[in-house]
Amino acid sequence: MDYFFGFKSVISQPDAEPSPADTVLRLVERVTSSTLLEDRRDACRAIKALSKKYRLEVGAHGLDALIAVLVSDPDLETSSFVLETLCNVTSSEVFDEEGVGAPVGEQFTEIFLKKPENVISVITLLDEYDFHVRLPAIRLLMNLLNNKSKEMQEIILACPMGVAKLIDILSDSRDFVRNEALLLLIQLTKSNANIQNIIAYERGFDQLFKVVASEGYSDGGIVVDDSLQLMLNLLKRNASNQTVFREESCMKEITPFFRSCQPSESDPGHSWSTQKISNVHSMLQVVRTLVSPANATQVVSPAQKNVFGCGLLSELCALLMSPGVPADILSEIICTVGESIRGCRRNQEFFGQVMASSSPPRTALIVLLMSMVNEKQPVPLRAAVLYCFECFLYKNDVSQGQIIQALLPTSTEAMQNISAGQLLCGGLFSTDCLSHWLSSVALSHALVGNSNNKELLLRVHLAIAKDVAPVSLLQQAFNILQMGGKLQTRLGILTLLSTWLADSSNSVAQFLKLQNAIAFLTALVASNEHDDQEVLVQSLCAFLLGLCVVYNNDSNSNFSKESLCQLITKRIGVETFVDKLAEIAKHEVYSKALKHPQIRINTAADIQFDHEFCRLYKALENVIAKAVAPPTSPKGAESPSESELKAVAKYKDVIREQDGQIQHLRQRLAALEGDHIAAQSKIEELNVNLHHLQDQNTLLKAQRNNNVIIDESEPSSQSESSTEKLMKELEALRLDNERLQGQLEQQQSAKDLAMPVNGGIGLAVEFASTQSASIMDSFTTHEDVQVCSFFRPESSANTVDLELKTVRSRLDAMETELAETKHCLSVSIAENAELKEEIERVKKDQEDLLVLLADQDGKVQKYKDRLKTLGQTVSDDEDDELDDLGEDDEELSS
Amino acid sequence: MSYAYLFKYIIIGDTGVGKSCLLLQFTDKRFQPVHDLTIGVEFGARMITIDGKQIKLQIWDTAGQEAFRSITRSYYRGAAGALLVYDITRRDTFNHLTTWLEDARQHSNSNMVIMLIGNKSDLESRREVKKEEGEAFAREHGLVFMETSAKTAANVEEAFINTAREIYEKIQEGVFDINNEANGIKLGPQHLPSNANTPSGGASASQGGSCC
Repeated sequence: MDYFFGFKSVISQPDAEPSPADTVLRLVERVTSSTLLEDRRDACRAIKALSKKYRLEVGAHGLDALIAVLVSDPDLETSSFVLETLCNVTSSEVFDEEGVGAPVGEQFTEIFLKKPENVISVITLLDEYDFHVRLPAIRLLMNLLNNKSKEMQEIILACPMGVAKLIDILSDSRDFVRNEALLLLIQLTKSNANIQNIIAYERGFDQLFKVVASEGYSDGGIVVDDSLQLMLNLLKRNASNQTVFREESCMKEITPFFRSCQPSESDPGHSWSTQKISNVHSMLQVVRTLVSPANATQVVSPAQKNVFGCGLLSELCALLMSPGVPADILSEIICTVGESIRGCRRNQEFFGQVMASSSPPRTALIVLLMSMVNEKQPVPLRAAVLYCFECFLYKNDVSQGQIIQALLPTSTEAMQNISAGQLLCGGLFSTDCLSHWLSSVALSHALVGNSNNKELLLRVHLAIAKDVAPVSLLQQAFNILQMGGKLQTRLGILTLLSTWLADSSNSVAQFLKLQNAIAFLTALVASNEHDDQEVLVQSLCAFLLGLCVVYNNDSNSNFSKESLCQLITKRIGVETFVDKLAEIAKHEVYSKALKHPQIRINTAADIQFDHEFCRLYKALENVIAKAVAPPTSPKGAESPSESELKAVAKYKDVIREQDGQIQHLRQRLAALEGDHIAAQSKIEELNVNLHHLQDQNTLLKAQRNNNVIIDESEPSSQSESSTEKLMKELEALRLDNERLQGQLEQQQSAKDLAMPVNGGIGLAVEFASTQSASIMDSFTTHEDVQVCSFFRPESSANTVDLELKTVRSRLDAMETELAETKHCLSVSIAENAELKEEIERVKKDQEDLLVLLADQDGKVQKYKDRLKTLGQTVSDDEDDELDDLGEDDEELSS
Repeated sequence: MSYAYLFKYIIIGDTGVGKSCLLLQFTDKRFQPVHDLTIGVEFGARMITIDGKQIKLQIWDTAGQEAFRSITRSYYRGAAGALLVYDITRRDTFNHLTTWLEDARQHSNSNMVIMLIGNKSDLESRREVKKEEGEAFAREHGLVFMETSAKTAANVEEAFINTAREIYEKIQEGVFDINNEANGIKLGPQHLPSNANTPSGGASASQGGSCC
């Protein structure tokens, strides 16, 4: 081979070094044409060596040949070279050897993927345990996936064992192989729910937790992080996999992970490595994905129960209070705890009772709130505490009540222990504007959806300084607002006031009593400042003013609904008011806050709206606009908004009611429809049954007519027909009887004839007549029975049958007797004939004798005459005698 | 929530034969007349008792549409049982059984228990496939057969439980390798020497970790 190779090169390139393209071409030819394994292997090795530097040439000329080898060559070493070559060819990075050139990896990937079988043969090679094959195969798949993610995902999905084989590699005992597979799977699962589901199905979570455990949980290397990244891919926005995660009780596998984060006894002050921070952060993301408020409630609440049930919540709370946790991780833990308890009463209660290891003993909640109002703490941490606090109060009226109760003057004893409410009120007075915002928003969450607390909070008074009379919290809040101050302070206070006044006419009334309140708000809304931040404040003020209109109970004559509306129309102008009102919604922070409850601020200057406030605003913006807007018809200028509002509310109620009714009726309809269908099917079934029974009935009737099968279910018709049958039989028997009687009569006459001849016949006839009499007898009894059965149809038909049988047997007996009689008769007839014959013979003899006698007589006469002639006297006596004899003979002959 | 065994099932069959409804009836005991097409797979779980043992069934409801067929193939390998469903009111769904069965036999482990289900038995008036035909098909291919109605819940319970019983018997006979979880069978936590489910047991932390 080498000889030819050399020969060729001499011919084609006589005077120069062979160009790389030529070299590659020659090698490729060797690969395709060589029959020797070693030769092919060497060629592949050579191509591999060139594949980085001359990637374009190798790819352009050798791709098909290499793929062919991949599919057909059983030699592992060759496969390994080919895979590595393909890796280089399809790589998206630009190699140093290559020099500057356009990245061609993607184009070669495209060519390679034209045939899905190519990918399948690479996947098939994953079965080889040899890492020289397995590893480059994984890397090749990785390159292909990096370049053409969508296409590759589809191809691998279409390959029946594709995903399964990749997951199997996760349990490869060689870490470096497993880790490559992990990276591949991360890439593969990106935004493809089908692949995510298959991995979960193939016990992916189990495998990943095994990897995490074997790598030492949070203290593990980047592999732990990779495993968790893959887990996150499997869980994010995939409700089905979240259910699988819960069903496979994977949650409890997380608990030891966080346990491993606790500072060890020996080295308590040990700071966390960057890897550990990253690992823990990823795991917290996993937990948050499961309990995120963005998920559906039916997914979140079992997950929250699970977090509590497997001890994860207590582990997280313990971590929260343990020293040495880096601040950003701590914020993340706080958020995780918050989402784990959000809206779940059991978890909220648990969290409320978690104690911090401080002296004097305080609950974790208090400790957290203390850091929230502490301006030295990092901003994200403080925001996280607020979020956690909100989650704690979310749908939790008990805790909301406790917060407010602690502020009331009645509970002075509790004053010794610092309460959450006090901390928040303290926050309002601090010098830090972020504290103002955080505290007022936190306080507002104690009021959300809780009108009772809104009333209670009105009674709260604060002692600002020792010698000044305490002022109400509402007054104080307004004072802060009036003082101006920084944007966040004002936004916070306005948020609090808005939440407070919404849906609480008492609070509105109290607010209207404050000096200058309305004047201040009107002035702000009407002001013409166009500063971005100022516009926001104006907008919030407009909202607050609007609330005063909407929830006005007209108790304050100065500021009744009507007068407020007039005030707005005159001083601000309705259009300006509505425009200002709409400003909030135009702010980008608004839409962000509306989307997710978590508060995300990184610096103290960041503007943020509260999620609950945004929801309130969204719900009431239109109501306010309508309430304030001038009536379309001049007539209704008096209080159109009020009546409209009332009407709207009324209609809303009506609609709600009707909606409920419709819902109810729909449900009933569905239920009834279901019933109807069920009933229909039942009717059908019954019909079929009925038909069946009728058929059976006819069948039975027919059977009975044939065989007199007694069907006990229909006694009347049965007895009727059996009677009929019996009658028929009776008729037949009667006929039989008549026939027999006729025969008997015949025989009797025959007997009369034969009587004189033979007395034996008389005997036989006698016998026959008695027989016939007995037959007659039996008929009468039979008839009796029949009559009985006719009148008592329900009486056991068996008796009739039995009777019939006996009658039959008797009939049989009689018939045999009759036959016997017949036989006797024929015997006597024969005898009779015999006798007749004898008589005949005797007669004949007699005639013969008479003839003889006549002959003799003639002879006698002749002899007499001769005698007479001879002269002999013949006595007359002798003549007479002869005459007498002749007379006698004559008599006889006659 | 502890169980002796965990079995993985898949439900397969043409689109619209009522696979998702069977699952819903079994896991939630309700019937949903209007159901969207299943995309990819859906998942449900329920605990049952066989022979006094708690057995957890994890059921993966696959999409019947042709477009998802290749995805469905990925689920055969890890399943211990399969419910192959057809619709007794649609002859074509019965005719396709052979294709499904070939697919299943090709990609599953050989011990997978397959139960043939003729669904919608409540729609007797629209029946197109006789019960005898289903029985004959099952006999011919060595499957267990049953007619069910996801609507009236008739035989639904039995279908799932009988399949589980068959798997259970196979385990008892030693046919299944229960230590290989790729077969779709998992031993319950009480079979493992585990103490990891005591949340407050801080001392056992390292031990509990290592056994997982």
